[in-house]
Amino acid sequence: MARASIMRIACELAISLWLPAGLFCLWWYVSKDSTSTYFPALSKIVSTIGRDLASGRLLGDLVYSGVNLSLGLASASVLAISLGVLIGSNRNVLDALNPVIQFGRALPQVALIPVVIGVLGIGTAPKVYLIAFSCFWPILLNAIDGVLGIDPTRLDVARAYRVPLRLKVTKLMLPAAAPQIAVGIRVALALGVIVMVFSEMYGSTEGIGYYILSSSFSFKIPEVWAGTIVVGCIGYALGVTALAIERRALDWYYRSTAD
Amino acid sequence: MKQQLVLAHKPSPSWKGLTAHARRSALRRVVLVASVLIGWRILYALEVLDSALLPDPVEVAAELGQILTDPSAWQALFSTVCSAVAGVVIGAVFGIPAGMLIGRIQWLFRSTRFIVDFGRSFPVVALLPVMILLLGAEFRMKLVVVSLASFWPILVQTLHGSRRMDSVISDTTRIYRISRMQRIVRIIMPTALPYIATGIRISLALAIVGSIAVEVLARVPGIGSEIAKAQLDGAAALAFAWIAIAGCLGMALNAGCVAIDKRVLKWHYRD
Repeated sequence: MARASIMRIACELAISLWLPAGLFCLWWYVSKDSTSTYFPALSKIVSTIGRDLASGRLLGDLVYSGVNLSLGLASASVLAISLGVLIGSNRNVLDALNPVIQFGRALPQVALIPVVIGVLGIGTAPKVYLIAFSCFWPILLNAIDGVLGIDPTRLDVARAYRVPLRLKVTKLMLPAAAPQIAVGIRVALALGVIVMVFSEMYGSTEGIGYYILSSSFSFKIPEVWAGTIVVGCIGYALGVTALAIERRALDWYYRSTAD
Repeated sequence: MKQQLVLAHKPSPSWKGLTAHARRSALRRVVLVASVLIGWRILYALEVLDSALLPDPVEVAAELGQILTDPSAWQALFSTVCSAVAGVVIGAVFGIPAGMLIGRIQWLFRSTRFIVDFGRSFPVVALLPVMILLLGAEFRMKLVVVSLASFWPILVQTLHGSRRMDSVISDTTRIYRISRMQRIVRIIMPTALPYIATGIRISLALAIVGSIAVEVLARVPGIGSEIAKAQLDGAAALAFAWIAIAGCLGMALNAGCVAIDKRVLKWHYRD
């Protein structure tokens, strides 16, 4: 019994891992004796990642980027969720704000980077503002959508029983909108990573984006590839983590929709 | 993925033909946008923020007028639109067949899962330095970056769309021995189409972001390079005029997408 299930798990792992592992080996093998400047050997890239992580240089950049991203995402979430509940519960306000919301959402976030960093400098604060701004819109839109999707009967019941506003928001509106808000936060996270990397490339002296760009300026190609691969892994890890947290926090929701 | 605020009413040909409700709504919106602009002007007059961060809206409007009447400025706009649209087309050409294949073949789906998840969560701007080194700061490089950015959302949406099959329908097609070709054309494609449409909308927004990012960083001609240039020249009003254009471009392309969707997928929206 136990053996059969171990076999099954092994089989599952083999099926899902043979292709990525094969591609990795292929890259490793083909680039083994590479003399090309632009395509260094994968072994060299991997050892560069190890070296810069161990020396603390890459690690410091990652911490810097991570702090900016979390500050931006957290402040955007608080603001967007509270505004979303407010706007979503009043159709007239929602209708009037529609053009502004549509514009804010459609504005390509990176367009603001030159102006904001150009004026406020290359410090931490402007980057956090930029990340927060880009994360704000998807969360806001999804929070509004979530509130709009609440079963009107429930709201009527809350009104009939004169449920106090605070209780109504925390016990009815936020839980009901939570699955949709979670979708918004996941979209925002992906956008936030883009803005984080790009703001560090545009003007910074720290951060993973700066690591990549400054290495390319000084023609350290293995470092450029190393940074790029690390960013990819971080994007993947963040996405997976966000999904896992969401699954856990919204367990009640998934269970209720399963049957 | 629900990311669309549904508007309450359809556009009507004339003000008089509108219902009272629609007229009130239009009025509200105009008043709100106007008060935002007036509020902006007041903030500017009070010098709350650096004027480089919050230029005079009147000046921005003047710059906007100048840009829109200048044919050489249109070229920058055209270049951004071109790369974004071409990138989405290239992304769709590769992404739709790949998504169909991965979605319909079970072992392939399980084996590519990691790669698909990795690719979709990879921030494409991180590739910029590598791309600049490999391809140079040219339109070609912009197109490659934008196509890469557009490919993943289309792939992922197509993949999910082609897996979304009602078991009753799939059993029915099997019982009636409906041919593979017929099944693809009549059943799988129509089921997946709304998902593909969403993927194209998402990727179009990302394509504009990608184009502007390339233009800002590598100074490839386009809206992004105009913003960066104006900022370096200290022409804040001009930079804001270009930012406004970028926002309107995003809105226009999204609206265009929605209009095409509504037309092509009429059967989907009917119910």
